Amino acid sequence: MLSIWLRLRTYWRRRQLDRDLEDEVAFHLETRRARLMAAGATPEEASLQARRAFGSELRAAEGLREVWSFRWLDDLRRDLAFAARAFSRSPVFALTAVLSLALGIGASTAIYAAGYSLLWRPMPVERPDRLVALYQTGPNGLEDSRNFSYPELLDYARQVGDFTDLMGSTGVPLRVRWGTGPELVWGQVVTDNFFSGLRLDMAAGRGFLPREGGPVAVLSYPFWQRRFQGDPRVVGKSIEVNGHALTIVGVTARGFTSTQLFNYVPDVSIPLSAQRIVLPNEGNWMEGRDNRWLTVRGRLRPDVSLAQAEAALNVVSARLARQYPDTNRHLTVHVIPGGARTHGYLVASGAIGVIVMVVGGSVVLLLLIACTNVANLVLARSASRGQEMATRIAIGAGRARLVRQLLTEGLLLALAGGGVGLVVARLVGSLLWSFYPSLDFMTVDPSYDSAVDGRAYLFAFGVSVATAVLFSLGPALRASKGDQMSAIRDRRTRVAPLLVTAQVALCSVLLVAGGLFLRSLQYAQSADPGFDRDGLLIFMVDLHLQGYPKDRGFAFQRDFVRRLKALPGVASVAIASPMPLGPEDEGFRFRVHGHVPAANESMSAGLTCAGPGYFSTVGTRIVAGRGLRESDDAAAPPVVVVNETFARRYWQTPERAVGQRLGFARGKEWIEIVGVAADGKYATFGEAPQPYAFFPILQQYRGRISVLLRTSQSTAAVLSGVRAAARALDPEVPVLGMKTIRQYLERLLSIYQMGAVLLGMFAVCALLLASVGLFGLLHFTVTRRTREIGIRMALGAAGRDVALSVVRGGMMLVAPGLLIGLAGAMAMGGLLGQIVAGVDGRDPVTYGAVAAVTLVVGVAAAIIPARRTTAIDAVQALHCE
Amino acid sequence: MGRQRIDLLLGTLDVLILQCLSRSQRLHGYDIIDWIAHRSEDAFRIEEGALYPALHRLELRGWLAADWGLSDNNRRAKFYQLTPSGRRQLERQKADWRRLAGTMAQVLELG
Repeated sequence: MLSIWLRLRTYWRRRQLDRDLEDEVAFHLETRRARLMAAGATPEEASLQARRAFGSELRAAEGLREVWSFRWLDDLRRDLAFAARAFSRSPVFALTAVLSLALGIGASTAIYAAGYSLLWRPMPVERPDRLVALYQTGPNGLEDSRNFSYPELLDYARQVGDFTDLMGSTGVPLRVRWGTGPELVWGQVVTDNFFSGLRLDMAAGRGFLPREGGPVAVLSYPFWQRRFQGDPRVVGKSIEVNGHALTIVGVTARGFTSTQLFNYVPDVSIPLSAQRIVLPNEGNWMEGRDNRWLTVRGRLRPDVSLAQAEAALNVVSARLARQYPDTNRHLTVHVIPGGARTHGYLVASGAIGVIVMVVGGSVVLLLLIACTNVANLVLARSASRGQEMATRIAIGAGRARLVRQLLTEGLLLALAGGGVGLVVARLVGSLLWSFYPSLDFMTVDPSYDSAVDGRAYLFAFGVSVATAVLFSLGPALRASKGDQMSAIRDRRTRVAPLLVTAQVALCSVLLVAGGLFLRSLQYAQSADPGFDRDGLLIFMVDLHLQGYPKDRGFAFQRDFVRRLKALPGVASVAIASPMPLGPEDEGFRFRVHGHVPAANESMSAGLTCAGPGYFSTVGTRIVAGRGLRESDDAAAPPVVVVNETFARRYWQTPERAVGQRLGFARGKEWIEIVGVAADGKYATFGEAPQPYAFFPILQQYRGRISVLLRTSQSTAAVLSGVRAAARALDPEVPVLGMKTIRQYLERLLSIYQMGAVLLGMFAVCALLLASVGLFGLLHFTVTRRTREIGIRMALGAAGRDVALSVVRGGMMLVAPGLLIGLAGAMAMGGLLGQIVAGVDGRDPVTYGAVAAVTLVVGVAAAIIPARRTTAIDAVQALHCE
Repeated sequence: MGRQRIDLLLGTLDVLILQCLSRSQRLHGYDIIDWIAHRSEDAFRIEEGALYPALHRLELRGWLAADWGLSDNNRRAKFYQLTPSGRRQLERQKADWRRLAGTMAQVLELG
């Protein structure tokens, strides 16, 4: 060890070493001379004798250097210098190879980092692999999945011994005030054992204690940094949440996100026991067996398997079904691994798997194309360097030495590619995150998420080094057999066209994927959401956060709408909760008067509670009956408006539905259908038509409402008037996130944008790489055929015909590749169709466009080498060898 | 110079250097040569230039520590001293030499 260190140190200070050796020898000679002169010798005699005794200075110096030398480092340096010189002689080759690798490596690193961060990055907890997610399903399976109520959580925790902890949590918006004005943040209400059960590291202070009881809160790391500059003294201070003072007891570790997939960070956590203090109007969340608001995570005991835990849970589930048939019949509990951050529905339905496959598959395809390009380039070069290799072997270069030289060149390429690739990764990464869907007041920690972590770096370099070894080794071994150069040439002409065809095939698959996303973005932008996209503004008001009871809330909403209607330029105003196509959606199970459901018929639909004038304000057509009116209030008989899909499902036509009755599955009361609204989109643009119901908000009170304004004015022009109207009623009520309805819908579009940008970028990179590959091959072919072309021209062939034959040759490679690629995409159409919305996986427009683009780019790549043929001078060509 | 000089056996120089440094604190190359010549009464034929590669080799193996300092006549000189592991190495080599010398003597005398 010591000697390696000493050597390395000396190696980097070679000049110093040389001087030291010189000094030491000089000192020796000088001392000897001085002694001799002291003994009476003349200076000349002394010098001579000193030298004679010392022997050859040169040999001594060489001996010394040999002691210190680091042979392989020296050789490596020489090899690298040689490789750099070789590349500078063919800069086009070096640049294309490095850029190919950089694109392949960069994109794959960025995607790996993003995917890892979104889907797999464990939370900073102890043994994340022992955490699981729980959810239960009803008789209709996955479509009927639910969370847990607090009484259920307690039953499972007490009666199942397979978990050290079962933790529950749910997200809530909270109004936080600390010093400055109020701020709306995304928070969570958690069971007391949430942090201790996760075994989460804390950046400061502590998590919640068992039987926490008091008014306390835990902050997130980003919130702590943003609002408190990371001051550890914040622990013990008090913060106002929804108007109530809570004591800050701790800060979660950096990298903690909610227990959901994706990376929203709950900024303020409060214990379940403080729910009634902070959210007094939402009832008692600890009660109600069918009050299933809790997302549950469990920590498995070390010796328990997933299947055992699931079996034990379902034993208890069957017991609960007998004990509480009203609420717990036909429920099955499921356990999903990787539960620190997961989403039961997305995992179980396989959506995550499909996304990972499509994105991961594209990454692999791109990397393959990049490597193919490099392979092709290295092959071409090794063929054209046959002369050089033969010469070097002739003058006595060892085979091993030659192989090492070529390997060094490959490594240099790969390292350069890997280095530039990291820059590309950073660019791609930040581009990706800029399309991440965001909610107004939710925290995503991009500084943490977009960081290319160490493993991604290693991954990139691993890939680049493997590429180098793979592709240099083959040609290196063959090139070292200098006498078999002709064999290489044959091999190259056999392999290279295949590689180009393969590239075109892979590239057209990516183009189809990108194209489908573009088409689906186009679809989503033009799809009918069920309301008018122009001249409509939306914002939120949350009276729950202000602690309004129901009657005061009704009064506020009524007065507020009245004041808004009086604003200049405002045509109409309505309120709704939850607004369709927003971040929240709500459903209910129902029964239909006179309809006996089949055994596993799904009797559930989405719902919105809307105020009077909702349909006319948002621009939804009423196809039968009437909309919601001022008179549909608590004193009037209950009514509902359903959409067309709902109406047609039970009464065949909208007209026949009017006057019919339905009820909540859990109620006795019947509700009359007074109108039928045109179908719209309610959760995503891609969804199939689904049943939906609109209840009068005056009969179903909601504190958190979206307010809709029909006006031709801009957000900025209206905002101050809206603020003034709110302030006049209650200065503490904030107007949240006012935007146009188009901006509101962007949250949903961003997922399509992200896909289109991501896959589009992939496809463009792939196309670039493939055309470079084709260009390189044809260029090489023309160079090699210079003599033959010369002869043909001398025999009277027209330059144009020769050029055309080159282009035709190129197309012979592109066309089969294209066909294979399109056929492959067609075969995967089903898979692609699952993640794009509103577009068939075999969309003819996409396939046609991909074919056209590929052919045009192919011809363009062939034209430059083809034109070179016309410049070939027959006489010179025949002379040149 | 009446006596015939002996060529150094391979490895002999190393043990001589170690032995020399085991008896004093800190010496530069010239002193070491001087000491060897003095102790052996000039019996060995050492090309002085060969001393330095040997010194550096021992330094690399960690048996000697070296540093630069000023000599008596105020010149920049490299000084060597024995490390603890060098001292152990010396003991091993001395034992080897004694055994070799003893065995050789025994064999030759019986001759």
